[in-house]
Amino acid sequence: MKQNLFLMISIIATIGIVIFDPTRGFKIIEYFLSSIIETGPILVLMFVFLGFFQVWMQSNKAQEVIENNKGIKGILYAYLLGSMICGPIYPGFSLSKMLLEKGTSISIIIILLSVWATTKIALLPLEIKLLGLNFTIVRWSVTLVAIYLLSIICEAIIKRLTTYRIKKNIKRRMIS
Amino acid sequence: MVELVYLTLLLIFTGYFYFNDRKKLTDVGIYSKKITVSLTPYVLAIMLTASIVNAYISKDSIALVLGENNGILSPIVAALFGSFFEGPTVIAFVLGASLLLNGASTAAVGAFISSFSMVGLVAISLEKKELGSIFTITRFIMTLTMAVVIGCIMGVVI
Repeated sequence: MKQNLFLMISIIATIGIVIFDPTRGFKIIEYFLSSIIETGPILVLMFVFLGFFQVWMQSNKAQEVIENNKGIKGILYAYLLGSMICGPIYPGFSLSKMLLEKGTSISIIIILLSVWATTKIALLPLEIKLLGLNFTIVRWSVTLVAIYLLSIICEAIIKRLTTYRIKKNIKRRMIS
Repeated sequence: MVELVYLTLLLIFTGYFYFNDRKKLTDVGIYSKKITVSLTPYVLAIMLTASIVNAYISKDSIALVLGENNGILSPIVAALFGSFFEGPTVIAFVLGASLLLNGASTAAVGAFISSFSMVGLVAISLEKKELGSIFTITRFIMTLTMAVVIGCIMGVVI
């Protein structure tokens, strides 16, 4: 619904520009058509491919695997499964909550969420097509390392803040 | 060229499912249709908006804000810009590619893709409800910082 509204607004804006500023308007249409011709086929193929991926790799499968693997193995599985899951990150939040309650460490959750969002194996050919092979290789290697650092830093901060909050609550209760 | 990768994989998968588990193919059809219907308007709208921006804003002015000359400021601006919205990774790539074509630096595009896909102001309320505010805010701030770092390293390497 929201996407349709966005599309509608941009179409109306384009029609307006074509009427009032024809030179720029036709330039817009030209840009638009050339980008559709260039990326349209790969996008259609990718949509079908994502369907296969979703059937093959459901997020409850990921939950089962990560739940049963702690330590380094858990981290590796978080990387692997996170980059294989398709679709938006929203269901990832409730999945993370379930995993945290089952005792998975915070760093693994951070890795899972971050990898889920940015590095996707199913989108790899598309990324190479749009941004170039060189860009893709560098982005993947830098991002994967950065996410590991991110998970360690976040875990340290979150643990400290949570214990601080618990201590403060205890103090408050003792005073009152 | 790259299309062929998808095409071969699709043929292999279809063949595999056809001979092993024909019922799953209908599931695949349903999922693919759902994904196509939800993403196509978004992709078209982004492409059209990018074309409008393209026609009105010159390469120079994009380069002025997000270009190489702006040094460390360009990934910071790009990461902040990306953190407002939260979108599918596909959109991050489409937008990143058009920014790259229009004079943005590698550092800026790298930072933008990371922050656009990993965090979003819109998703914060949902994440807070599930995982608590300490978790959400820490993750938001640290991911944003990391997006800038990722962009800077990419800018140096490429």
